Amino acid sequence: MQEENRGVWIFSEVSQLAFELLGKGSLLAKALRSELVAISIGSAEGNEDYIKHGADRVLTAADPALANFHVDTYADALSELATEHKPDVIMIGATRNGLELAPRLAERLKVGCVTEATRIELDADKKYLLMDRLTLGGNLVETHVSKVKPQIATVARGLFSSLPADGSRKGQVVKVEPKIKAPSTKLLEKKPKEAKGVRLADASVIVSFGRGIRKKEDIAMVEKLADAVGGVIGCSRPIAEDLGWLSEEQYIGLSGQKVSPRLYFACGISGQIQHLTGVRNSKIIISINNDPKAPIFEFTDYGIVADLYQILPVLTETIKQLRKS
Amino acid sequence: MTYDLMPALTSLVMYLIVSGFAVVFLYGVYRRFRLYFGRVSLVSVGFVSKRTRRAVVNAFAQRKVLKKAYPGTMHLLIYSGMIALFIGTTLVFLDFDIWESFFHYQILTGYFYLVYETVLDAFGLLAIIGLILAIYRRIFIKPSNLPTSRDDIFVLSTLIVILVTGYLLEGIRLAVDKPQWAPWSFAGYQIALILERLRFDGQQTVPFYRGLWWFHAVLAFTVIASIPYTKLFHLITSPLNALFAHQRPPGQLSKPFDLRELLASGDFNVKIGAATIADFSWQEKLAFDSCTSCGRCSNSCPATAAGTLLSPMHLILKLRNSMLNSRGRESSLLLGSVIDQDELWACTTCRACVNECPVLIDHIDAIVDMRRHLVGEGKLDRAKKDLLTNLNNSGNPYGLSPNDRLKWAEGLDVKTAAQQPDFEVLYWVGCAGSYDPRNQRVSRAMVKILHTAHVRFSVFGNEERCNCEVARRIGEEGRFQQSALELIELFKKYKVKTVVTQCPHCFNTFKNEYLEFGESVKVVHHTQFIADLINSGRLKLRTGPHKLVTFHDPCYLGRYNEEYDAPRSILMSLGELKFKEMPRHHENSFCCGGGGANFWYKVSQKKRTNLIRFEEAQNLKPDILATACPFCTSMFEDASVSVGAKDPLSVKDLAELVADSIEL
Amino acid sequence: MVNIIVLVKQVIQTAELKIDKTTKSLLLQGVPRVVSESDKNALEESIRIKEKHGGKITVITVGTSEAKEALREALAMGADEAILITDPRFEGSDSHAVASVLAAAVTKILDYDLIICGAYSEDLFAFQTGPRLAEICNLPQITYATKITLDGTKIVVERDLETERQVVEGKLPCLVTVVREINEPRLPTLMSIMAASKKPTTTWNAADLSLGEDELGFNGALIEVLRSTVVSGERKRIMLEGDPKEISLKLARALQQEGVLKVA
Repeated sequence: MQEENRGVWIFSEVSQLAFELLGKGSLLAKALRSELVAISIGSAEGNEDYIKHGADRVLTAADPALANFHVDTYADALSELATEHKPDVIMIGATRNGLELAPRLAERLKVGCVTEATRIELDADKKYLLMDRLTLGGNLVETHVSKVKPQIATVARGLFSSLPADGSRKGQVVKVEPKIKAPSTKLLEKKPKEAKGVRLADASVIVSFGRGIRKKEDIAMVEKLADAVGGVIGCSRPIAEDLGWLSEEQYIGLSGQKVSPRLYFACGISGQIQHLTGVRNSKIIISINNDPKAPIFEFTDYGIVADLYQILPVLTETIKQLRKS
Repeated sequence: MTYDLMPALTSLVMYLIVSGFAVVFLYGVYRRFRLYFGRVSLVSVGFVSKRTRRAVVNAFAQRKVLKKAYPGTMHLLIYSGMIALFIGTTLVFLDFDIWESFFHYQILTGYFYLVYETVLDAFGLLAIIGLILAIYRRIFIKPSNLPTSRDDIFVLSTLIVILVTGYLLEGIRLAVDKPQWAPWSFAGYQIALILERLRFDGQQTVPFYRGLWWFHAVLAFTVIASIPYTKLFHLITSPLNALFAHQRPPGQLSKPFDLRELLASGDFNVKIGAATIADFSWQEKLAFDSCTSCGRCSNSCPATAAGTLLSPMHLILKLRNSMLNSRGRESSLLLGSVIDQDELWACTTCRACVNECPVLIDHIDAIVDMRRHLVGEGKLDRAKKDLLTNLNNSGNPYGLSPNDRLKWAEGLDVKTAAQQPDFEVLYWVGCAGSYDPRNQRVSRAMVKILHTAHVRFSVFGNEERCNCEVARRIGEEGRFQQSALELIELFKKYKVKTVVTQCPHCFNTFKNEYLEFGESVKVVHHTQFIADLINSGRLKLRTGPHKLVTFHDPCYLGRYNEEYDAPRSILMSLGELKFKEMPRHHENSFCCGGGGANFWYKVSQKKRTNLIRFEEAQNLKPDILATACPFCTSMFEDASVSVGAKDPLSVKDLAELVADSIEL
Repeated sequence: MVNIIVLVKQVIQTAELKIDKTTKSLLLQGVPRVVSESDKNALEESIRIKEKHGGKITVITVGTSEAKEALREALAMGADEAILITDPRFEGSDSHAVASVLAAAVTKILDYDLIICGAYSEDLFAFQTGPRLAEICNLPQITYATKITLDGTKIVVERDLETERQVVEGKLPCLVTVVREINEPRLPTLMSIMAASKKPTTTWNAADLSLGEDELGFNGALIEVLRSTVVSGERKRIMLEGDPKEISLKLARALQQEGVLKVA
């Protein structure tokens, strides 16, 4: 491995994600005894925030051509900066933009890239990174090592924690002017998506309920739990089709939505096969039902035999309290 | 004149000789027509005995028509009346215009004639009564699915007018001629008496009589000529359809190609399915034309009851009308213009329609043929595509791991065929029994039963794969045949002699559909097997709980394979269990809604089929609704949850009831 | 006339992958191999474009000989020609090495206007193949397409990002990656798949593509897989007991440990 690559770089066009990367980056930089650099592209503002969240230096490219994300211009900018400064590590936020940027950049630099790393640690000798990711539908964890530098990884929101903003931190903000070629595609129009709420099929946390909920008003109890865990609500077929308490897009099952959240709560759902085929790609399933013989308990990771009306409020409160602290 | 210089009986000899030449002529025509229809072999034994018997029983003896009392009787009266009168009129024609002229011989004389008169008068009256019943039914009873059109009004009214004028003519004749034997024509005689009292019995009647005679005659000719233009065409088509309808056993769908042949030839370019009316066979077209709009199919159809777009009668009539409109020209695509896709997908293949149809139309054949076309076009929604993909990739419709087929048996003493090849019985668990938690309980119950009765059984374990019956019902014929060939090999590999299965669909496919590949598997449904065990004493049961139970006849066990007794025999053996029949039971059982692949995709319904049937059960206030099919069980459990009753009645498979009552 | 190259990958069906309890390794035997879902979307889209504009669809895949099944399915859906790129020396390839092989193939095919592929494959979810290939071949990339419209050499693509939808215009030739929402792929019947074996299928290996040893497999990869650990796929079926408060705490802790919920 080349000795001359130094510096931990982070980039994300989404500032919150960039701060999370800085949180991890500062640990890596300290262990590597090197600099933590935040790459800021497109805007001259907010660079101080990078410093507050842990960056030692900010390289800011404020060319108006870079005002909006475009894979061509951003790849141009990053590759020129990386070629010039030879960083050791580049962590890029795994937004859709980041996911199309990182491999293009990596190919241009002729280096590897680990997509949506779930763990990034230094090896025992603190020479190179061990980057984990899930493959084969979450059945396999692969530990990757890059043969060349810079070592590039994309990281999703929520994996790392950002450092609390420290106004007293000192750092450098350096203006850079990488050469940008004209982008190969033109943006004709863009429309923000309605904040209607996450589609069940995309949701990563779902709190779902069935006939165990006796009255429509009681759905509020389920919604409170959903809020507490940061999820969306869903239901079994009878709730939507027979009772009409929720819309058709909100029921999960053989003839409804198929979901693949990392966390799925099944509250008062018996667990017929029609429902189970919709949820089987969930990472962790929690089931709450007052019938110990309910088929759902065959398909669950954590099962609770209890009265919904007793356990849900307590569970909600407990989680809320823990998350607040 | 023609025979003047010829000796006597010349005409008789001539007609005898003519009949010989006629045979030559007819045979030639038959040979030529065979070219159009291919392999229709009229003289095979099957044709002569089975088909003829079926035609005689259904068309002549009206067996299916009579299944419904009112319309059956009404039709029988009209039918027998009209036939009798037709024979009577033919005899008159033969007598006066042929035999009399040629042979100076009459048969309508003497005692024979008197009986003839009485019989005809009686039948004519019966026909009138039948027609009155028919008209009353249309005007006042107005049963569902019996729309009245101009066609119906024309036929009923002209027939009744013909009959009434016939009697009037007879009455006038008798009143004028006053023959001695008049009372033998008892109805006409009564009219004659009235006419006499009214002094309308002399020569003054002649002009009126002549006018009425022509009116009656022309009206009768009109009706005859109208036969191919009105519903009366069924007089010709329905008996012919009873003769030519397919003889496949119920549960055996048609086979549009044989995969073995395609594999051998390497040519897989087959076009299957019906896109236009031209794609149906001549017999199917004849069938469409045989429909008498009686409505019995739609009245028994669960899809119709659930308020879907499907009404079997209307489907057939639409096909028939499409045929009439096409007039042999290049016909347009059925789907989209004539038939809506959702009509086809709403069918559960429960066979209530085919069972009811008095003229032996096979609605399911037509529906599956059109489904085959849709599948060939790839016009399937997500759910159906997922189903077929799961069958293809995972060997089961759930898409669950093929390596998990034995998970249900964890902790039980269950051996695979590989482990125990010298089994007596192959227990075919099926996909539901392997993967659906609710039905896994039935599998476990079966194991308990088999062990208690000391039956040496094995399962295929992870070698078991879906027989893809559901793919065939959806229209993916290739997938089904591929699976069939694979499973037949599997049966052969382990030299399987007897198969027992808890799924009537698997049961039906193994029993009836594998015959198409020359394979006859001895397969027994688990209710039959268990009933046998009980009756032979291999299984002893304690007295059951003191509960009221009712039983839902699964379509593929009952209507399709006529097995109604085994489940009931089991229930009777369960001691304290009190049994009550569902209002619609045996062959009239109302489908749970899960068949025809409907279980796997969403059908837009006003009131769900399983709810309708479940409520039918609930109204009996039983403790237990007994089932014998994994789909029925699942559909009723679903209904039970939907209904959300405080004390829901429990849904139990017969195997579960038996397993719970085993005396150890 | 738009000539399209579609990239297709045959993956093992991960949904029901099981672990052998004794060896603790993945049970790959009997696990079906399928065409990656978004590749089917890519194929479907290319067929729709062909139905509208005419042209030829060449489908290519890098894999083992089993991948021929995937190609047959693609041909059955409506592709015109299929190319299997296979070589035992590809073993150990990473995204870069695979992209290099694809680039060599694409260059050899020469006559194309558009390359369409899925945004990611259902087994690895790496999102890398498309952009890397576009970079090597110096093509514009338009990703996450939900709608493609062609007009001469102009291509207009609707894209789906997390918080916004974009409409982007580019020029052919270019590379487009598609997401699942773009269309509903047609399902070929078994008979049409079997009939598709008559359509032309070619096989290329490393030599056919003039690839050097140092570009192949482990040698060509820029990323090395140090180790793979199997994650259990079974449901745990852990029943939590106690009073509501105890249960809640136990659950919260368990979820924290599972990494699905951050509570502390």
